[in-house]
Amino acid sequence: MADVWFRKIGFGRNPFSIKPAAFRYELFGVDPEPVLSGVDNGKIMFVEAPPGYGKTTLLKSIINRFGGKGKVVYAHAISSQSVDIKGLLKRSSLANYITGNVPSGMVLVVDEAQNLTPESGDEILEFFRNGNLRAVVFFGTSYWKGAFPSGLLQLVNGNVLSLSKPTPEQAISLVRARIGNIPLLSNNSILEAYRKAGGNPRRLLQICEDECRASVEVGPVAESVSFQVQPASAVIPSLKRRRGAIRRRRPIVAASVSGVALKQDVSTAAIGEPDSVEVLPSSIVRKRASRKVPVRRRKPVARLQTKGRKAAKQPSSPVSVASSTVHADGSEGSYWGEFMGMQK
Amino acid sequence: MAWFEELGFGENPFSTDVRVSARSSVGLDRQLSELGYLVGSGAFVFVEGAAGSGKSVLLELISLRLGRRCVRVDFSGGHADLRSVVRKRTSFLSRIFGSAPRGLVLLADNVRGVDLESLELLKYFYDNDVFGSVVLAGESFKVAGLSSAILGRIGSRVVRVVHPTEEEAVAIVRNRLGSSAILGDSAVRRIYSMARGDFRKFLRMCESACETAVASKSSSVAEEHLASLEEPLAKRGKGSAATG
Repeated sequence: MADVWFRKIGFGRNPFSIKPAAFRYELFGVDPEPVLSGVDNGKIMFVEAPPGYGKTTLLKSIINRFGGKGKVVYAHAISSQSVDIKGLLKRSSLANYITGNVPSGMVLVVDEAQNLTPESGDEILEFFRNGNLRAVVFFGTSYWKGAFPSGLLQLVNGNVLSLSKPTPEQAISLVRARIGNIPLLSNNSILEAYRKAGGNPRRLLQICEDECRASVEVGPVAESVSFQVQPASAVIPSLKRRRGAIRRRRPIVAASVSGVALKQDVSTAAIGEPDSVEVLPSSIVRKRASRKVPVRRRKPVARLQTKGRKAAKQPSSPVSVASSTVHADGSEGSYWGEFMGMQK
Repeated sequence: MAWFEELGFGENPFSTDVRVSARSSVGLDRQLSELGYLVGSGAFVFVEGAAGSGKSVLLELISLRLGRRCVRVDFSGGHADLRSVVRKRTSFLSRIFGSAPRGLVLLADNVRGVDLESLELLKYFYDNDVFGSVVLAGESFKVAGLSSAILGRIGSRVVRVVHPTEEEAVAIVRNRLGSSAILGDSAVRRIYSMARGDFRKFLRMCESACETAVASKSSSVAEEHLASLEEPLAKRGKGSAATG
């Protein structure tokens, strides 16, 4: 499995992963601000969007924002089962778990809220009125009124937020944030994929993955197949892989764009050969390369450098890439209840 | 003494057990490399193929490749207890701290008409990277009864498994029989055409042909042994699979 396309061009793992947990900080076409301010103001909110539009990604970013302080409780509703809100609240910290105390001032985020049973809705409402819950954010495919008790409905009313599909510019910056400014995928082919996907971000990522894979493995066939290879003005250093690469939790995106031109076309085999590729010795690259055994507890680094001998040019896409690509590492929200809650 | 022991085999060479089939499989290379890539890239995959075409063998092959990272479940009843599957893989310390394992690969067989709860759990575990990759195997992607959330995650990642061709069937029989000459190539081809595309049936027919040949003390399967294949199959079919 060493000859996977994304390893050939220097990615430790699939840059087009469709998992919400993969790239926690990316929000394109989704503005978290209304939700965050709603949480600050102690509202009950409902975020609705079709599948694949980034609900769970938004949810993760909220957890990330409030998490780590033991203030967020995450629940995943499963149809025909009520969610044990009280149990989740108790497990939010070790002290509460031992004493059985229900904490106050918590933020509850509920994923797949369209599956929520009326009993769970009542329980949530009760905890909200008692002050145990400061704010509640529901995420679901549709604002399905049937399952919500009327008291909850009144509170949710007016706080329903619909996510819309990303604009073409946002789609480009989404893909660029994943793979950087590599010449494998031109902005035009991203737009083509965006049209094919009908604006659905998840579908867009899947199509981009297929296209990149096809053009690395087979080589671009013709312009008409919508793979455009530009003159190779950038190279991506291949990183030494750690063992057990699939187990890696967060991506290590360390594609460096330098000003050195490849002698061969990118589409040929040169892309996979480390000899023809300049490795920029950044501290991260060196550290990772020298490590033999993966240290699992280590905090992940997701970083995309744009360095070069000549000043590496930013793409001429309307949205700046640099602002969205450099992810500082954040602490993982210690949302205890997440897994414990599933053991019911 | 069983017929295969008289020929010097320790076990039934025509067993329909997936482990035996995985050892002798031919013609699944393309699907295996595709599946290997998809699992490595963290995809949600559906493996599609008719009954007896080798879905389970493909899953067995990929699980041999992945080793301890993969978890196998069977959805034949429409339900699988995914929570207990994950809990079994959670270490003692992780249980105390309430964290879940990460990056497991779920291989689910016989996916058809799966209940909603299992599907939602599947999605939950996939989204939270407990299952780094999920492989569902079933007879048909269209009628598997998956929810729209799962369908969206699968997208176009469907791997199709087809029945072995006649040449592949010959190669598989050669793999299984080794140097033994009990079953000639032409006899294999005859049996292949008689089995009409059902590979499990093909294996059982091979087995009973060899059994009759051994019983009549002939060194290889001849025309007269093939003639009586159709009738005894009905009563023997299940029994021989169980002993294998």
